[in-house]
Amino acid sequence: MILSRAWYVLLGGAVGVALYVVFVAVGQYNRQSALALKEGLASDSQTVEWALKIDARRRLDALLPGSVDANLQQALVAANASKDGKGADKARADAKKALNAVNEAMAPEWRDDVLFAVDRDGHVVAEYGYDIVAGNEDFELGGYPAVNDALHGWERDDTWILGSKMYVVVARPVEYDVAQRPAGAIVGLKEVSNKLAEGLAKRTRTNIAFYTPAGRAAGGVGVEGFDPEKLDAVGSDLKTLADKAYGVSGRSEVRMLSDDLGAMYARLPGDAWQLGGGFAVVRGKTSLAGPLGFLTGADDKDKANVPWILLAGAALGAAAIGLLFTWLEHTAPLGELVMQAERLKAGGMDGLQVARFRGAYRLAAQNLNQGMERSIEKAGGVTRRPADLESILGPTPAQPSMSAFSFPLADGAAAAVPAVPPATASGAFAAINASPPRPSGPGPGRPPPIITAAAPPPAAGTRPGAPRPGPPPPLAQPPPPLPLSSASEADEEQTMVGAVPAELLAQATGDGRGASEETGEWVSTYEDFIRTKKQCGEPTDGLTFEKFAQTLRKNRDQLMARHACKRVKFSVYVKDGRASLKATPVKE
Amino acid sequence: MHDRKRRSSVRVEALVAAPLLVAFALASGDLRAGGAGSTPTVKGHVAGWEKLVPQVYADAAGADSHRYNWREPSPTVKADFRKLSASVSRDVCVVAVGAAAAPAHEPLAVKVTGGRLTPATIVLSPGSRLSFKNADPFNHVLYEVGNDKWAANPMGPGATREWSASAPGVHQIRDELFPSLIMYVVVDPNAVDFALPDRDGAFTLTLPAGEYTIRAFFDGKPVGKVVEGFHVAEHGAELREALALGGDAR
Repeated sequence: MILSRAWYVLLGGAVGVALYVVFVAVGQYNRQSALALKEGLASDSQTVEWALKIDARRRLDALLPGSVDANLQQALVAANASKDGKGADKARADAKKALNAVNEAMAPEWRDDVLFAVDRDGHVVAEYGYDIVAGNEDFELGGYPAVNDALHGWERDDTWILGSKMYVVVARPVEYDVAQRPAGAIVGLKEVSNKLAEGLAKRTRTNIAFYTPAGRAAGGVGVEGFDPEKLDAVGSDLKTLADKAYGVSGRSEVRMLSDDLGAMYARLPGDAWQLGGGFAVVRGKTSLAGPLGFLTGADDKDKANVPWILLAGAALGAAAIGLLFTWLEHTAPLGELVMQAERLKAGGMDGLQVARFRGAYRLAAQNLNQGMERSIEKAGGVTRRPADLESILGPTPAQPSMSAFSFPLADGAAAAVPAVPPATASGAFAAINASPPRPSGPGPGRPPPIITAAAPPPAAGTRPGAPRPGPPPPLAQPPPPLPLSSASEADEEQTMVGAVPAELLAQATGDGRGASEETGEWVSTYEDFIRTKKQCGEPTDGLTFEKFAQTLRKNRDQLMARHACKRVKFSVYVKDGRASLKATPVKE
Repeated sequence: MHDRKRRSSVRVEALVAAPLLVAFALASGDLRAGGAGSTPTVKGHVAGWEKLVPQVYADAAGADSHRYNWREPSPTVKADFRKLSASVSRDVCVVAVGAAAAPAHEPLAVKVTGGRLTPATIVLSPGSRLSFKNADPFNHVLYEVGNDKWAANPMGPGATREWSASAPGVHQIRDELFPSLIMYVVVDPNAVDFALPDRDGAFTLTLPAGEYTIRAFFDGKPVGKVVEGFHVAEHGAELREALALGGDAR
């Protein structure tokens, strides 16, 4: 389960990193959003100011035809000549006609809402678009700085707040004689209305609210998707506007009208500057309360830009890797265990094939096998175990025993080696069915070791790969009759060695005597050894009989020379969970 | 400036009975003869007001005043005429100051319209009253600077509001809604009479016989030449020399 667990840890770590990144991204996004809001509002404010300045310039220029209009000039001259400065009726009528004509001559986009013709003293001689003062002969304009300037030869713009309305104003002198001061002035007023604000907002792509000290005067939205009702917040915020920068430079810092709405105020040059009139640009701010804000704030376009194929591939890939790991480490070995358990239950096998398991499953299989054997033994049954030569050959001799692959030195238990009849089981197809170890000979209640005589190879399929097809090689000496186990007791899993050529057997023993008795024993020992190694889960690849026999021969020769014995018996046993060989000198 | 003679610049709408009688008497020639019971007059004129510039307009013309985007000389107006100046009939007041305390003047109407108060400067004796009348179609909120008793109070179109001269000194009347609207009221206990020149600078004072100091005021301050010890006879008098204003108000 190492891979699966590592994968879970990796996925958990990836999720943690992803969440960390998202939270960091939220903070970063909000900070950048606030910064962008400030910069955007400053830019908007400047843009609107420039636009208003350009508008004033163009409206001043548009008023030029009025300042040189002959009819207006004559009307103002006549008004100046009239008694009390209030102008004769004819002069008034002429001036009004002239104003209408001037207004018609203007380009529509720069046409003013109101036009005044003012005499030299500042009295209004005629008006256009400001009927409220019709008949009011006391009405004047000469006190306003813009008009006073125009009457003294200057053209100028201004911003007035008359009652509840705000006007952008332009004024020019009306000159008729270069040798005299101007005959009067023409004054144009354009109300700062929603229409004006809308047009300005569209051109500058901003959201604008004009305000007077009384509150919001007009507003316009030039940014798609911005709610015009949000501009109402400007009116309520004005009461708390005590910005030092606003008082000094005329432009406030960015003020947050709400969590998602910022504004920057700017005074309008003119009378409105001193009165607290101006405009505010407003922008919305998209802030995220948390990682989910990315989802709630996303539109269809954002969602369409997501690389879904990549995301799906990553998700599926991660899932596939996880499933693969769990299959490898859980499902597959469990399936193998279930399958072997089924076969075990059906009698198809006597124990679990430890080699087919790994890790904890292998350990569990070994324990299960040992547990089953122990249970069988307790019940008096016969278990399959590596041959215990002591049960066959008697107690191990006192002389040091040797193992082909693991030579445990004999302790005192192996000091006396009784004469034991040599194992007669031999032959190319000999196999030893393990019997439970016994200290000596068969005893009551214990079945004698079963030595299975050479038998023909099992039918194909009993154990793939173990038996090799082909006729068995001729044996130098037929094996003596041994008690044969019944056919039903034949172990399908017993280790079988295919026909070993006589030459090979002879070569294995090295004495040139052909397939001797000893050679047959070695074949059996080899089969036992291979089987035991497999039961212990040890690899057997490359362990050929030839190599095995060479090792046995070498050890046999050494022991025979050391102990002056005639023969050496090799037996297989399990030590520390590993298959081992024990060599016992036979002096008989 | 001097192309036409118009005497309408004296915008004293409510005149006292005595000056009216004096005017009629002058027209009939009685006072010129110095008849008994008539009030002598002093005629004169001022000069040099072209050099005076009301402070409110000087401030509004400043480059750093934030009062405009564009302010340029008109190419169609000769440079000689492109100079800001006072309106003599509105911004200048000539007053005769006697040796003793003068009685209060009759109520005077002050017009509130056009971004200004007319007259813009006046000299009164204590107890005199002013009646401000809103001639605009929108509200004005007049107040006296530094006088809580005459604090800001909205005046609707056509409405009037009274003001009474009390303590001697310069009183400043302003409007909360119109920064250019300003009036200076100089209260002088010895101010016997005042006059607002016409468009040509001519003025007429109605004074009892005696000695007076005659001076002009602009933007609430005395300006120009001061005529002291001017003797007014029973038959009246005339200032032969113009009162030079000279633009030294500041």
